[in-house]
Amino acid sequence: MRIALTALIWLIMIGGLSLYIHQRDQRLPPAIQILTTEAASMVDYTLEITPTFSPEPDPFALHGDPSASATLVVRVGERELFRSEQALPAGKTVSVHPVAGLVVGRNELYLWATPPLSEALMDHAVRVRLLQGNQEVFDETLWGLSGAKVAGTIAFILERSAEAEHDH
Amino acid sequence: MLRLLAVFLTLTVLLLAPMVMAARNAARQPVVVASTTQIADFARQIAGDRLIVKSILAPGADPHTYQPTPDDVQIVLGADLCLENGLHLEGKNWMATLARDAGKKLGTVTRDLSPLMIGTAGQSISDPHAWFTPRNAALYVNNITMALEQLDPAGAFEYRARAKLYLQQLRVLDAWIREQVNHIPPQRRILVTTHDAFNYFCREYQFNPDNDYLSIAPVGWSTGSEVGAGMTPERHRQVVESIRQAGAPAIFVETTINPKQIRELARETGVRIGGELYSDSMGSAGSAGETYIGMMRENVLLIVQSLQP
Repeated sequence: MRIALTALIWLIMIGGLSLYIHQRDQRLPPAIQILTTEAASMVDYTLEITPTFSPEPDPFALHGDPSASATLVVRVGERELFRSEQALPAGKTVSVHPVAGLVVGRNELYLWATPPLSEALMDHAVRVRLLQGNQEVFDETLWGLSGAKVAGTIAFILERSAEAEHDH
Repeated sequence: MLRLLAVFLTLTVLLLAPMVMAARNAARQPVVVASTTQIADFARQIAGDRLIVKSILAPGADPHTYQPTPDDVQIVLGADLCLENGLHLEGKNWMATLARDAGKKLGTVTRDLSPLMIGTAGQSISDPHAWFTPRNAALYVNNITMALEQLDPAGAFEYRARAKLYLQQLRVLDAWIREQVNHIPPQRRILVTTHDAFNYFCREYQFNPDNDYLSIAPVGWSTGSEVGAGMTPERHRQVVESIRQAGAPAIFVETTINPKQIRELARETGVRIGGELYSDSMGSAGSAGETYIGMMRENVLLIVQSLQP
């Protein structure tokens, strides 16, 4: 009886800890929920990127890294959607069309841009808009404080609408 | 009772098994030996717990005048890779000698640096104190990352990932230094230290405009006996003149050097001592300057507080 009780207490303790660790790792950041239609194919999307600064190559980049010479990069998962290796003008909007790689379900856009070192005392931002035709899907601004790289992830879910389900 | 004990022992063995495995893995870890505390810190930031990193110099030790001990020889004999600053920071190239005598591979972390050339005693010398700007520190980190990748290719992903994070910390440090230094009016940006270690710092952050943005110090680029090193009466006179002409609000001693010269200077010129700066070595374990970023942060805070109106 004592042996069974000991084993049970041990199982509860270790099991509880495992359950806690598992659940903690499962948590994901909240996503922006957007309804879309299956008919609106991925080529209908346009991404607009507007930095408040002129991105330039990072002198603190890791040598030999594929992104070392880039000034602004946008990725969807592992797919590189946009890359600039030139100093872009501050305030000018860059449009990316079509936005390849989006899927029905959970999507993540990862963006980073490098502000000039000469503006190290300033905070910097990049405005990111995703448009479906003329309709705005999201409008987010990513910030980098006091000369740090502007980097961030924008999570959103594209779902089949009831209308699209009906069409099928 | 015996059965109860057996259950406990079984469970304990199951729990301890991963720890024993980890300990066995640790025994096989490659060893990296760095000459200075700064290089060792950079290597630790990149290696994590995958490698064992040791430093020959203890916190507060002077690399220019350091004499290797039999213990150092033993440490280098156990190394898989040795790292040196180079540019003759290690007086009489003691790290290169230790590595060569032990038959160990040596990496020079200032490789590909465009050094500041300082004219002294009729000669032009490459200033070895390059780590005093985060931008140069980034070069150190890149060179160390490449060396660790060659030593342990299986760990390359980890090393590069850690290096990328640390490089961004250096970028933020650089931006923070600029913001802090901005609190000192340009005419008060006079940095007088014991020896010529702060040339890169002065050039990057615009200190000592009347001295071509190079450091002002009674002792030359080295505290050893190399050309242009040490203190001369002429140099002392020039520093006294510079302090008086520039109206330096404070002068600074360094943690690795006897403060005698700076105290004499302070008495002679009537300028107060601002405090003690980390220079050729970082702080001891547990101190605010025990890491490179901590050392730079504390130095900048002390300089700003001492020089601002």
